[in-house]
Amino acid sequence: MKLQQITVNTDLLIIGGGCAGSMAAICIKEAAPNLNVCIMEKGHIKRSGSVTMGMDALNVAVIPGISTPEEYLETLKKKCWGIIDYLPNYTLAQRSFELLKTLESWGVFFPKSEDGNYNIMQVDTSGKFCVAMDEPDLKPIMEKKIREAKIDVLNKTMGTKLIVKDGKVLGAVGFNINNGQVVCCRAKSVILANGSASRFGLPNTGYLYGTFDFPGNAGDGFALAYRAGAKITGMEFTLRYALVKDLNIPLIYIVLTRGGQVINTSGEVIVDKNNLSIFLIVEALENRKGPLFLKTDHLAKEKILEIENILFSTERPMQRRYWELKGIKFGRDLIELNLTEAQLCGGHGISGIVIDELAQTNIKGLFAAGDVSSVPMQHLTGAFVYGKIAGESSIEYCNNENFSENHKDIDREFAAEFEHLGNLLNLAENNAIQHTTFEYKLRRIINEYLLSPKNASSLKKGLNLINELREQLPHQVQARNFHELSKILEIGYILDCAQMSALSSLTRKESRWGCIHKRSDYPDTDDVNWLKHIDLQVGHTYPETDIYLREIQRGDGK
Amino acid sequence: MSSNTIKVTDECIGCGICVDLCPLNCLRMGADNKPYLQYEECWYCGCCEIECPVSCLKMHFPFLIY
Ligand SMILES: Cc1cc2nc3c(=O)[nH]c(=O)nc-3n(C[C@H](O)[C@H](O)[C@H](O)COP(=O)(O)OP(=O)(O)OC[C@H]3O[C@@H](n4cnc5c(N)ncnc54)[C@H](O)[C@@H]3O)c2cc1C
Ligand code: SF4
Ligand code: SF4
Repeated sequence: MKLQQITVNTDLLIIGGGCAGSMAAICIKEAAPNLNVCIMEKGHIKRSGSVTMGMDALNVAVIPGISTPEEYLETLKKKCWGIIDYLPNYTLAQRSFELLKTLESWGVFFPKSEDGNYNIMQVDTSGKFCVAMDEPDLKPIMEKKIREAKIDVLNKTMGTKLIVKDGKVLGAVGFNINNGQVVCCRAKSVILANGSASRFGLPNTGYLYGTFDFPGNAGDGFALAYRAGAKITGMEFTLRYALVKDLNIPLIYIVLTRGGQVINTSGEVIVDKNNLSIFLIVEALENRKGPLFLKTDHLAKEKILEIENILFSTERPMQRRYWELKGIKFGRDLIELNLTEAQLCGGHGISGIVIDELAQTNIKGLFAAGDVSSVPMQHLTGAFVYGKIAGESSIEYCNNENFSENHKDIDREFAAEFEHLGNLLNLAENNAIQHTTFEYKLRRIINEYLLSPKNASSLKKGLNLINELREQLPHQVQARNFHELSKILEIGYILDCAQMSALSSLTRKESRWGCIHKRSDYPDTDDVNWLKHIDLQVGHTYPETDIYLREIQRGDGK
Repeated sequence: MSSNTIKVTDECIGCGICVDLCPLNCLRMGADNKPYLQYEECWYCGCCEIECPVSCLKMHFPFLIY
């Protein structure tokens, strides 16, 4: 088994071909056809990412006449307990309707009532920002546009390192997880769009890949950016969602907005469409007020059919088979809900690479979009809007910056990464522990020491164990092929995320966001001292980390 | 590795589309030129089943989650 080298030269490199990366690529090619664009995607662009097929809602859509960006910001501020910056989120809201229109022009279907209005759902205790979408082929629609625009795609290729010199990005290294080709990609600008840290906490089933969010994302983007010197924020926001127990897929919004209820064992209604908030369900479960169930037996037949039609056609149609297997029928049986594993995500939560309203990171020429970046709770809308913005900003950067031929620095950095991968492969060929076993242990430790209720002793213990596992990784985990080598790299990313999360949680000496960051040694919320962001940046030598507190950016950029 | 997650019938033409498109890269072609699940790393997305041109592949939920 030997690694091979190849070199790719491009103007713009996009790492990650989910919705954010695909949108960036399409927009760049439309606006600047003269620029070369290349996408590195770990899976296959047609089906990879959080959206492998379709989606049933755009969770952030500020539609003229229905809501305003100001109202969106007010709602978001409440949900994030004040830890949001004004401009990135305002921009998201402001550009969300234009995005919806773009998608519609591509043939993405948004159902409308007879009078021509979108189907807008209230999924928060205030504000109507969620628009129903009924598009089973969202991902293939994007892939077709990429193919038609003749954008270069390197499938099965994972970005393993950003090449940065003097605070400026010069390219990246990619690794083909099937054939072992290591790609030296020289680029003027790089957009990171490779998703969240889904494989973080361990799901209650113990099944490593049974996560809520797409398990192909192991925090690769967070780790790559962090190692390269980008600032990462919000890593103490260890988010657990409430979803269908064991299956871990979402359907709560779809069922509740159509009249379903969440009840406890005494039949008491905990949440329905009048007080719809996923966080109320999470709190009830965290506070051991469960088990909780979705109840639909009071709904009319047409409603049940409507629910089934959506659930079994757009986002995860395979679930029909699950319900058959379990003998559960909508409209008749209760469906048990439970907490998901903990994840770190800039789409559902607030964790990710620090970007501004132009999708810029603190590294010149490096942009980030979607779940990998911190635009709190931006969801799919954010992936699209910031994919587009990252595209626009990177074109601007390519057209206005001076680029000297800097092959020497790139080649040196590439050679170091090539050697590192080769050495790791040589070591790992003779190791004995399976990657899944090692990952299980790491994620069990995350559950035990890094999640709420948190306290200084458990977080420090967690940090020590993470350091021990870091030492052991190259000497314990076996790789008999390139796929398995990619899993060792991914475990390295999970380790980075775990370390960052523990450090941020230790730093935030207060409790915030209910059960998401509950410190038993600092039980109160302390707005005087902690209404701030906690940013991390790699220190002098990796994985040493510097910690910064950053003020909240309030309205109008002040 | 033997697993029940992916089941393929004799109609399989060995095109490899399912293997190529699986977002988790967990399928492989066997010596019999039929796909099998090599790694228990399936997200039960069903893309392999949907993409199969002759509808001969069926995805089953991983044992741990049901
Ligand atoms: C089950 C589920 C349901 C959801 N429902 C909704 C909804 O109804 N409404 C809504 O608005 N939002 C919803 N969301 C959120 C929304 O889907 C995401 O926020 C959005 O799709 C994120 O897009 P992304 O491109 O940032 O990340 P992803 O789509 O996850 O894409 C990341 C891509 O990067 C690739 N990758 C990872 N690591 C590397 C690497 N090292 N090198 C190269 N490539 C890499 C991955 O293979 C993947 O293709 C849902 C999410 C999930 C998981
Ligand atoms: S269901 Fe999805 S993840 Fe599982 S093998 Fe098929 S394509 Fe791969
Ligand atoms: S896509 Fe279908 S026909 Fe092709 S290899 Fe897979 S199972 Fe066989």
